[in-house]
Amino acid sequence: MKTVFELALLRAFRQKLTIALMGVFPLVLIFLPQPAGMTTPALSYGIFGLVMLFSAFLLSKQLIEDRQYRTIVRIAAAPISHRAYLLGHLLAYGVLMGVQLSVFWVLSLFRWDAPTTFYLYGYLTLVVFAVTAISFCLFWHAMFRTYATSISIFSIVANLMAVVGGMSFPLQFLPDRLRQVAIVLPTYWYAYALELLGEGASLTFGLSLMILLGFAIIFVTIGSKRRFA
Amino acid sequence: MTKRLSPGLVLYGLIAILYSLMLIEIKPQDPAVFFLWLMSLWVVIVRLRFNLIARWYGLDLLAYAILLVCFDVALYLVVPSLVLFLSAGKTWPVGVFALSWFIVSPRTDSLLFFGVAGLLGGGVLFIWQRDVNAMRHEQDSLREKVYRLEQERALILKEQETLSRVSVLAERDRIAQKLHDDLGHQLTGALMALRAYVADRPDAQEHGSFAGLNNRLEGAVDSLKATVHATKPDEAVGLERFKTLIESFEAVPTKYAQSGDVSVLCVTHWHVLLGVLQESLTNVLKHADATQIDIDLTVTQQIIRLTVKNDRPRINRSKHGVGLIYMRRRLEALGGALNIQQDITFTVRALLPIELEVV
Repeated sequence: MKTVFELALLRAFRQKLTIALMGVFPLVLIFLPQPAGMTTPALSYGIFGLVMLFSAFLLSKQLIEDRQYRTIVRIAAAPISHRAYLLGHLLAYGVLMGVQLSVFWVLSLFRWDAPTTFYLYGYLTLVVFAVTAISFCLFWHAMFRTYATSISIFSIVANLMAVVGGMSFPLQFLPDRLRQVAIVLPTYWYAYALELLGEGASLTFGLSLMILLGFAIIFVTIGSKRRFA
Repeated sequence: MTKRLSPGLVLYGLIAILYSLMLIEIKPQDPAVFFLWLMSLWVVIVRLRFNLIARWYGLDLLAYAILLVCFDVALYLVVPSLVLFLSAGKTWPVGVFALSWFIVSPRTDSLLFFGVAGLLGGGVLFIWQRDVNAMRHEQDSLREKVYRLEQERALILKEQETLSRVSVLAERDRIAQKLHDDLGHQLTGALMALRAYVADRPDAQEHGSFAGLNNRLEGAVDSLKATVHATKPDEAVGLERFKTLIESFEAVPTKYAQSGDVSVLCVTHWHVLLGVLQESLTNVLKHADATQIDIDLTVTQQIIRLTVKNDRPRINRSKHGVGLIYMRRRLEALGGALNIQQDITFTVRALLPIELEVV
């Protein structure tokens, strides 16, 4: 698995544009002004969730490209198990996403004056959502044959998920009917957890994170199925 | 590629519809219920994705019991009933499930209707799935038969080719033998007689016709020798070939015994016997850890019997391969039989009539 992990990291660093975008967006978000009346930078954290979603998507494009260019067949013939292949890649993406969210989190510490609990639990929320985002992208790529189709639909769906899930605006503005639909989206529970953070950590906050992890497990269960086409 | 409608797809559709219906009941302010819904969905996905063994039904039942307590709608029980029926094909999980359902459920009015609907739906899906499986099984066995027939066809073609080659070789051997034994001996005898006649008559030696006759006879003998040498096949045939095969098998010590008049055996006899011997020796190498092989060839007035016996039973107890099956058919087609006996030893016994039924 170590070899696959190193290879996945190497391949990720070869995607120079992805790495550059992953670095630039947190910096841009840091300078985003907070709406009046908000005591916490929940909105920036929310939009950063969208950035994480796209980062995970761009990183995990290796998986769909392996399938598209039939590299997966050669990998299957090599003495590497599918589990090692998958774990190695997901771990590599996790490390890169971890670095990205840590940079954002450190910068946010200096930028905004929020309660310490927000930052502590906010970091936890970011980590959990990073896991969900990676597993979601694994699941998403499993549904398509080519990267071009995958990205063209994802760019619409991810933005819709962000809007309906309440990532780019305070959650109280979300209509009740829409909220009823939005509960099936992991983005909603991310935004929900961030909203709850303003009130301090609670059991409901913990449940939101548990739901995000539940989504992650479901996505990995479906997305981990080995496919050759 | 179009996907055919299958019981699995119907089940996925039903699960998707029923789990969506459940969502309507969940309040956004109640994440605990949503979490339970999510976990029960995960259990169903795991069941469908991994095709788990029956022991895991306990986990399913737990998830369904949680759902039952949370949602209090009997409709949702259709899902587990269908899942249990489709994925199991066994009756005991359904019994356990039905029992726990009646104990846990606070409602009884619509319970019966949905329960029966679920069980019937699941039953239909199960029968459908069983039919699909039976059809697939039939297709697979047909494919296997075609594969075996193709293998046999290839073997027959190969054998036909070998048989015609061996026949040519045997005929050449016979001609060479005949030339050597009959014509060769006659010519040599004539030459010797001529030389003996001339030795007593010195005047005859000077006679030109005697010298010419001598030269012609010497030339004929030399030419016959060359012809016999060229006609005799390099490859061994018949008994010679049979013995060469035994001698060349060095993996396990062999003991060969022979009785009766082997000269009555024709090319086809030898060809079939060689096939049986080769197959038996290969089988010993593949399937038995033998230390000694006894080969016995007995020819009586009516039948030929070849016995290949090794002192260890088969380690690999796989069914007889294409080689032995084909050999049995070949022997039976010629009016013979193949007998395989296994106890502390492994014996292959081939019987062939002297008068072949079909050649």
